[in-house]
Amino acid sequence: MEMKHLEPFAWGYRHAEKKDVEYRIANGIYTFAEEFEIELNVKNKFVAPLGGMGRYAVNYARADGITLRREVKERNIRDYPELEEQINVYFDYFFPYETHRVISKYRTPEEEKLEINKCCWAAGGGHSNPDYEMLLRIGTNGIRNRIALFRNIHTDKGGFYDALERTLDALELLARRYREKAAEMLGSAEGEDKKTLARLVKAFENIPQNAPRDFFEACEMFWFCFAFIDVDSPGLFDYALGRYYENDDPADRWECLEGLWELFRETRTWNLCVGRSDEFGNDYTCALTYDVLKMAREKKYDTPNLTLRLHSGSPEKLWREAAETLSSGIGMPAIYNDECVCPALEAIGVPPSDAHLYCMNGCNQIDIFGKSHMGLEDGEISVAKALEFALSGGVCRFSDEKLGADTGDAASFKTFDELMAAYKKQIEFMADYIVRTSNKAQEIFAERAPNPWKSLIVQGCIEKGLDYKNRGPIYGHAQVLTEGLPDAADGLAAIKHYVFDEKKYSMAQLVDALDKDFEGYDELYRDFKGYHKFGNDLEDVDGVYAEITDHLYRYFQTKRTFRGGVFGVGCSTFHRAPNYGFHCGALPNGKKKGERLLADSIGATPGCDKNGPTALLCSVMKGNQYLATSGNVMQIKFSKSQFCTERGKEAFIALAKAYFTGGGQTLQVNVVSREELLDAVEHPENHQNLLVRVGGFSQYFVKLPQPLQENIIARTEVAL
Amino acid sequence: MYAVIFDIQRFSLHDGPGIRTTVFFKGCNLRCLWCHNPESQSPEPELMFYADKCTGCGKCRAFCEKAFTELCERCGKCASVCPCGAKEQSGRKEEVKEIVKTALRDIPFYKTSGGGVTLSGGEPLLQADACAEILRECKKNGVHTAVETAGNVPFSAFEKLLPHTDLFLFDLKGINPVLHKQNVGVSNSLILENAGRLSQTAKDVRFRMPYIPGYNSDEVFAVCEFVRALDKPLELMAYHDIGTGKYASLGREYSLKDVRVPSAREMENLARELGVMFNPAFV
Repeated sequence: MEMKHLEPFAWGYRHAEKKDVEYRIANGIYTFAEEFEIELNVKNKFVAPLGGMGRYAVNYARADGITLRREVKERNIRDYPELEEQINVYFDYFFPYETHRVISKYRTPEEEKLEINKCCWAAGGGHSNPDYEMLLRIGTNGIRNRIALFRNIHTDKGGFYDALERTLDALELLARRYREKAAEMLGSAEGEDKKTLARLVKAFENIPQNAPRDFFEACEMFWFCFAFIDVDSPGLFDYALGRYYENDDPADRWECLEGLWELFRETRTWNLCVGRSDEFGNDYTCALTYDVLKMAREKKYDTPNLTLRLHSGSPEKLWREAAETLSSGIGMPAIYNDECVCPALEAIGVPPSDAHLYCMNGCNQIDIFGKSHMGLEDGEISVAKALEFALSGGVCRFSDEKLGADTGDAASFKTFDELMAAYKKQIEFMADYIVRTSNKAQEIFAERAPNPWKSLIVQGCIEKGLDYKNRGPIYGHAQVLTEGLPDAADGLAAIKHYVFDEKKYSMAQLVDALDKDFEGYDELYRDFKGYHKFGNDLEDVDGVYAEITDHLYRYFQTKRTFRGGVFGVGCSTFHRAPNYGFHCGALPNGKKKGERLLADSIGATPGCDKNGPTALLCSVMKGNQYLATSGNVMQIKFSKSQFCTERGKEAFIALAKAYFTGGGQTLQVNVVSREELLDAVEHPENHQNLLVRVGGFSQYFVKLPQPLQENIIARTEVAL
Repeated sequence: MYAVIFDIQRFSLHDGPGIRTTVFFKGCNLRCLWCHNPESQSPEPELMFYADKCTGCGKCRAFCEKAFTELCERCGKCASVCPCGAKEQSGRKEEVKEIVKTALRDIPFYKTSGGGVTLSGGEPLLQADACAEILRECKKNGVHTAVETAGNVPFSAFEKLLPHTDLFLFDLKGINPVLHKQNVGVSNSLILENAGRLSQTAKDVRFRMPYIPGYNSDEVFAVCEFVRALDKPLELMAYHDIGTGKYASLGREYSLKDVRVPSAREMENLARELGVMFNPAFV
C-alpha cells in the first residue's frame, strides 16, 4: 500500500508544494481521479465516484474546505500498521488547515457564550448551485475555451487558470477511467446490464467534453459532475435538463429520471427546483417539470427537497399537479412566488434576468442558479432573545450572564418607544457580531479553502480570474436566519397594551414577574399569555410584527459581505425553534422558562392562530416579504381528509394564489398524518391550529368532542 | 344597527362556492330534534358550561352569586372571569358595521376561489334588516353573497334580502305536515309556500335536505318531487351526532340518542339513485 493510494488528495496536495493553495487543491483532486477505486454498479443506471472524497482521512468537502476525519485515520493505522508514521505525518500536516478550527480562534469568550446560549451564531458552511445548464450546454471543451480566453486577459492569473485546467483534467481522466471500466465489464455482461454498459461506454465517448446527445447522456453527465467531489443542490433542474427530456422516448426518459431519483435519495441530495418564469413573465414549464412532480409523489422519498416556482402566468395544470403531489403527504413541493422573490432580489441589485434564475440553496435559502456564492447560514439570530435582553438590560436568563448590549434598566422605561429602542439596539448588537464574524470567516475560507471545481462551474470566477470563495462569483450575498420573530411581536404587543396603554401593570412589575418566571404573578401571566397573538389578523400585534420585521431585515441589508454582496435575512427553522425556545427565559408572550415553544416559521407560534388559515395568511402578509432575500418560510397544516378532496385542493390553490397576490413568498404545506392527530389528542395545546374537515366546515381538531376525534383518526387511517 | 350572532367562521368551504366567511345568526323558530347547533336556537346570549374543564376555582361564584344555583339565568356573563375555559358565553350582540368589516377581510381569498360571504344560523331571516345591511355592503364591495335559511318567515323578510343575495340555500325537512310538525315543531305550509315564491324571484336557489334515518328519511322522495317541480337543484346532507356534547353544556337533554349515522357511501348511492347531489356537510 502506498500513501498515494491511501490518501490521494493529501498526496497530491503535498506534492505540489511550490504552487499556491488553489493549484495544490486541484492537484489533490487530480490524484484522487487517478487513484480512486472505481466500483461500477450497473443497477444504479448512472455512475459517478460516489462518496469519493469522503472516504479519506484528509478530505475536501463541499462547504468546509479541508476537513480531517480522525476515525478514518485510526482505521488506516489499524489496517496498515507499517504506514503508521507516514499516516500521522500526513494528518498532522493538515491540522492547521482545518478551516473551522481557524475561524473559532477569532471569537472572544463572550462571543462564544452568545453562541452557546443560542442568542445568535455566525459563520456556517455553504451550499452551492453550480451552473449545470451551462456545463451541459458547452461541455468541458467549452469551459477550456473560456479559460483560454480569459487567461489572455488576466495575464497575472496564470496560476489560477492552471489550477482550473488541472481540475478539468481530473474530471476528464476520471470519466475516461469509467469508460474503460464499463468497456471491460461489457464483455461478460448480459441482458439489461449489458444494455446499460453499452450505453455508458457510448456516452463517455462524448461526455463530459461535449454536450450530451440525448437525455440518458445528459443525466449521466449531470450526475457525474454533480457527484464528482460531493453532492449538493441540483438547482434549476428542468432548466438544465428539460431540453434533453423534451423529445426523448417517454418510457426511456421516465426510466432515466427514476434512476436519478433513486441516486438522489441514496446520496441525500439537497434542493431540487423546478418551474420558472423569465423577466417578461414568460412561463417555462416543460414535460420534465410535470414528471418531477409526479416522480416525487410516486416515490414519496424525503429527499431531494423539492421546490416549485410559480407565478401569475403558471399553467392551471401545474397548480393542480402541485396540489396532487402535496396531497400525497410528503410535504413537498415547497411553492415559491416568483413575483415576490424576484423583486426582492432586484432590490438588492440583482438584474431582473438573473433574479429570475433563482433557486433554493440547501433547504429554503434563495440563491441564484450558477452565478452566486450566497453561502448558507452565514448566521442566525434569536429575535426572542433580543426581547429578553431588552427587558433584562442584556442579561441572558438562561445562563444568568450579561451577554447582550447595555440598554439600561427596563423597569425605568416610561414609554413604549423606549422599550422598542432598547429591543432594536439588542438586535443591532447581535447583528453586528454576526456580520463581523461571518465576514472574517468568509475571508478565511477564501484564503484557506479555495474551490477550483466550483470556480469552473459558477459564472464569474473564470471571467474575473478569482476563486469561487474569493469574490469570484457574480453574486456574493449572505444569508442570515431568524428565530422567534412572531413570539417577540406577541410579547411587545402585550406590553404595549397592558403596561403603556391600559396601565394595568408597571414595567417594574413585569420585569419582576419575568425574573421570577411568573411565580406569584398569576393574573399577570394569564393576561399576557391570553393577549392577542400574531396570526389572527389583529391590527395591533400584526403592526408590531411588521415594524420589527422591517427593522431587522433592513438593518442587515445595510451590511456588506466580504464576498461582495449584502446580508439578506429570512426564516427557515429546520426544527431548531424548540431549542431556541428552551434557551430563552420567561417571555412577555407568556412563555415560561424551560418551555420550548417558539414559532416554527414566519407564521404564528404553534397553537396561537385560532381564526383559520385565511386570517393567518392575512397577518403574515402584513410583513414586508420583499425584503426577505434569504427565504421566508411559511408553514401551514391541513389534515389529510380535508386536503385530499377535490374541494380541498381547489381551496388550497385559491388560498395560495391569494397569498402570492398579496406579496407572500413561499408556502410549505403539511398534510397531516394520523400520528399527528393522535398526538393532538394527547397534547391538544400544541395542535390548536390543526384543521380537519368535519364535513360541513373546517374545524379545529382539538375543539371536537372526543368521539369525533376518534372518528376522524379512524377515517384518516383509511385515507392512508 | 346590531345583530345577535354566535360565530363568524372564516375559511368555510361548504356553505356555497369557494372559500367563504360564514356569519352564524342566533335565534331560530324551528326546533329540529336533530339540531347540531342547539346554541343557535335561543335569540339571547347564553351560557355553555363544559364540566370536564371546570377546576372548581369559584371565580364565577365570586362574580355572580347565582352561578351554579337554581337562580342562574344562563346569561353567560360569568364566562368572562372563568380562567379555565369551562364557561363560555355563546352569542353576542355585534354592530353590523363590525360584522361587515370581518366579512370583508378575506376578499383576496374570495377573488381567487370564487367564494364570498354566507349568512347562516339559526335563522338569519329573523334578523332580516341586519342581514340586508350586511349583504348590501358585501355586494357594494363586489363580494358573492349567500343566505342559508329554513324558510319559516313571512315572505316580506325574503324581499328585503332579494336584491343583495346571489344564492339562497333553502333547507327542506319534509313535505308531510304532520311529520314536519313532530320533527321540527312547526307546520311547513309557510315554508313550502316561500320555497315556491323564492324559486320564482331569487337569482339562484339550491335546496338542501337533512337526511335523518327514521325521522324524515321516508320523506326524501316527496322532497325530490317537490324540488323537481320547482326545477331547482337539491342536495342531501347526512345526519351526524356531532352536536351531542353541546346539549349537555347548555344543560339540555338530547332526544335523538339512538339514530344511526348513515355512511358517506350509503348517502352517495341514495343521491345517485334519486338523481340529486350529496353534500358531505353535517346537519
